[in-house]
Amino acid sequence: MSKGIVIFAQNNSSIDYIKLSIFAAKQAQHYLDLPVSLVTDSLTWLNTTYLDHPFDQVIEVHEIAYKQKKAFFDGALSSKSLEWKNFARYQAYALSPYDTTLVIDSDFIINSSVLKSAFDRDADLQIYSQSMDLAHERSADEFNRINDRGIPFYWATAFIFKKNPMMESFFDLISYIRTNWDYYKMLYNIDASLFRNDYAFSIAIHILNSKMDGNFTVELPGKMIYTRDKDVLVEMHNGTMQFLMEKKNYNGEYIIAKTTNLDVHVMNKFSLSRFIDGGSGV
Amino acid sequence: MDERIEKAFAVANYMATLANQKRIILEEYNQQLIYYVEGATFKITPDLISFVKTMCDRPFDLILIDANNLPVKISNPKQFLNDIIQKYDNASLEYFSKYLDIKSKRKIADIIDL
Repeated sequence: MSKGIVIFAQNNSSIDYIKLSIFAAKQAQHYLDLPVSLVTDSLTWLNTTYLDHPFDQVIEVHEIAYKQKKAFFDGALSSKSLEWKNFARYQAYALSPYDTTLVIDSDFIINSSVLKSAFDRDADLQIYSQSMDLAHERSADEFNRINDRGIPFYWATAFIFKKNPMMESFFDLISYIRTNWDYYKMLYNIDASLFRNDYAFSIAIHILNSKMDGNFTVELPGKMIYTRDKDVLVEMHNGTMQFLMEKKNYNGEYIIAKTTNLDVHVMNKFSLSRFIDGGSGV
Repeated sequence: MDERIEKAFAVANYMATLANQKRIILEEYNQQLIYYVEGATFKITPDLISFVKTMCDRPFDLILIDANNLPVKISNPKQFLNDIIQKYDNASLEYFSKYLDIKSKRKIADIIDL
């Protein structure tokens, strides 16, 4: 039974997701010792810019006609409205070359081996619902439930699935939810207008749990540790990361935080990109 | 600004950083206590160690319920016990050391080793 990691990367006009993916892949290979494949619609950019990329396989997907934009923050005081290409995730089942696959976002930075043994667990789908904001006391309500009275929130940022008919149905359902997003958004009373994989996954899990508290999923070990895009990555070295974390209720004021050997979802892609380029992320 | 008020704000920042860093090292500790065996996952706790130690000497199969409420038969209970004790020791020692370290620091820069 083959095991591996898949990263999705679809560049927009300002963010080089391929660069982030190469960095995330090297971290994953170092700590998990597994092959990493890339799914991208930016194949030409990869082949001309990153000739020595670390990917086991590169799988091309094509852009779809529908486009959506969102604000990408770079710290608390700067943001850009950019295209957000997140429609390919439902294809993870069809595109993954592995029997058991860890799918991660290009901004999910692995600094520990905690996910390695999760590949051997007897579970079809392992995903995070528990999370921890690296900053103290900021509201995390939006990551607990999809709305105030809604179903539990699951993170599509990192998950492990096995290829079998059950999981094929799961991804088919996500595809269906994506296609009929306006309907499901209304049905589940989701405020956000944009399609978001976390919501589609949460809805699909709710449906496959027969709309009850079922056991279709198993929690990935630990918690989804995250920093928001209003936070800033300062430094990273040998499994240690330092961040400036925006203070609760104080726009543009920060406290500093340090992690050691924790996998962290770094939502500020500009900051991560600056760090990869060889400087500080500030 | 009055110097005393500036100092008070500096102390507030220090306290916020210290409290946040305590949360983070606790989470690092919790993640170190995750133990995988035979396709199951456990969080190592003093309760688990005591229970396994109690059950270990009995001439019956050891069945445990893992972190996801799945039952698993432990094929080598003594090895399991040794492994979880060792992992618990290492993680607790590291947590203790990190805790003492940040507790003794009086500046934000020292807390996160800038």
